[in-house]
Amino acid sequence: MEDRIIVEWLKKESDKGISALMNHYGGLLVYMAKNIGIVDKEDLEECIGDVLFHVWRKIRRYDEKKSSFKTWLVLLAKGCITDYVRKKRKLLATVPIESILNIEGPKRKEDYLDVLELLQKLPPEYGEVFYRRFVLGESVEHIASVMRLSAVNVYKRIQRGREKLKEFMEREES
Amino acid sequence: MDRHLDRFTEKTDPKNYSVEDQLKSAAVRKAKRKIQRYRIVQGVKSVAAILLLVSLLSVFIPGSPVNALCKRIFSFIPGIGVVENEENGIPVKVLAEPVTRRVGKEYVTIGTVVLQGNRITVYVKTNVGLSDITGKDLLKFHSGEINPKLSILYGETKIASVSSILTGADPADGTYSLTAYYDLPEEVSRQDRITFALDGFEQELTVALTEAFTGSELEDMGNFAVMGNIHVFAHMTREGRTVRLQLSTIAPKDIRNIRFAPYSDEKDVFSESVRIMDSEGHTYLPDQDSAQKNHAERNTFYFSIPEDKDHLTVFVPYVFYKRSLEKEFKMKMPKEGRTTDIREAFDLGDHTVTVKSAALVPKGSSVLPEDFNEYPCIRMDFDAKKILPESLEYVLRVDPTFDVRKGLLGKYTGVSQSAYEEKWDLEEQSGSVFVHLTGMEEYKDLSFRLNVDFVWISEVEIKPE
Repeated sequence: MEDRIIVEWLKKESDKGISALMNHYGGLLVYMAKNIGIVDKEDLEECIGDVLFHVWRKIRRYDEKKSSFKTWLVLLAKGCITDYVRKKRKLLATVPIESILNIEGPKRKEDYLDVLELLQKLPPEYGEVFYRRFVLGESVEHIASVMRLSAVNVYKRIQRGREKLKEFMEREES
Repeated sequence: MDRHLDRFTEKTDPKNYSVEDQLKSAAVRKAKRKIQRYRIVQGVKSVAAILLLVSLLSVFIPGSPVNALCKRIFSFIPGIGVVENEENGIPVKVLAEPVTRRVGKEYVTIGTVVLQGNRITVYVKTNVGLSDITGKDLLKFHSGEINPKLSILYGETKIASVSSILTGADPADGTYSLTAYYDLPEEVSRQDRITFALDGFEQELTVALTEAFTGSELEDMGNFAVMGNIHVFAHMTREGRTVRLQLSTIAPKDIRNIRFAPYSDEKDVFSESVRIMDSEGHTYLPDQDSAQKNHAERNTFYFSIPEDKDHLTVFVPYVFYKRSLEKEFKMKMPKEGRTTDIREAFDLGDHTVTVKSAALVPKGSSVLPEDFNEYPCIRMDFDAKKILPESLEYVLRVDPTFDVRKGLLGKYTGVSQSAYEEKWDLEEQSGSVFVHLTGMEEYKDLSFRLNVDFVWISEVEIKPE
């Protein structure tokens, strides 16, 4: 199913849109939630329900000029899942992306969307590692094997990516 | 606009990730219920908003009790300095003295705790998890993989931080800083003793909080001196011969990166340093070893002064700071061998700074600084004139940040760049910058913004209480 149709349904017919979103992206959302540490079945249902609800609530803020729907979705989902985990206090709040941005850390799920433009700018050599680690929540070992890199190399790219993001952020501030 | 992230998400095919039907339908059911509840709440809220507006209007009636509270309140917070307290009227609680616990080679020092309302901020120095530091540990630390969590314990409850930031780590002993923020339940925020636990460290740390020194006038905060637009406060603590001096400031928002010590490449011009004099006229200079051992923050100085010496006076010779210009300048990439006249002037601080010209310097040119010799660079020339001749502010350097336009109709976007900013002569007040942009031969249209480093030169003395 095309993203365009899902977006349209979410805007006009919530029930249809929510179901279409779950049918198409449900597996990916569950994969992200599990990677971030949600294993309990009831928690998974509740958390993914939260994600779907927030996608519906925020859909009018989606801007196709800034990103694809899939990018927007995974970033908002990342914020919702992290938020859910915080509420449940099963995991503490330190998400590495927060220290990259050198701010108190996204406190609201919407804040993850605020960094969308910065992440879009991240050069490809760091961007993929970053996307896998901090958005999809994949382990360093998994990323190393998929991208055929050593674990040390993955750490290095994460570090450089963080520096780059910090630079973008400072430039935006100045 | 770059859309690199889209390229990766594009590669993520949702069909490769499966989900059980039962989970699918349960999540959809829950989402629909949330939407239903949300719609009901929104309906109720619109009625409530009208009632709230009526009550809020009374706040703005002059002389009302709420209006009286809108006065600025300042607090002195050990470890942070003087701050403007945004939580008007609510007493701020702080940790009076740092607390340290050691287990073997590992230690945890809670340096500062600030409780404002229900929000508590904690600054910790520790080497837990990094006491036997290796290069790999450093990498893991910087990539966020080593990430111990600091929690607050309250009875059986473990309160996690809303967020925490790790910085450091010192390759010598693994010391790093941890700043954590917590939103406390009301019953916890009313306590005067707070207990912390750090993952991987056996001991718990209990600290006692006291009310911060608060006042509505700056004078209430103790002695201070004024350097230009910056109020400088000195706070001193003594332990045996060791004197810890913390300089803190209140300054307009456009002044950033305030520091009192010159960088190493500035010491040839700024050879004086913050110093202390006792009542007999003996002068004491900062003790670098002690500062290093204590992992001193910027603007904190350590001195070694005999315990019997008193009535200490602090002398501060300079203050360094940065200001940014909001304006964006546009220019064409200069042609090799030609100088583009820019002649754009702007006022910043007590100065009118002029962007004089730009030129493209080919690689290998003898004009280029040593480290930039292998790259072509844009050379930019600036000068500055004081608006107020009596001002003691000087321009130290100018630091441009370039954006480039890709394609004819493209937007200006960031580009990787390195710059050599010449330190300005204080008399002549002019200087150059050499900037290399990655792939610069591809770009024709450039824009840049400017940060300017200033120094205020006028020695002041402060007698800390």
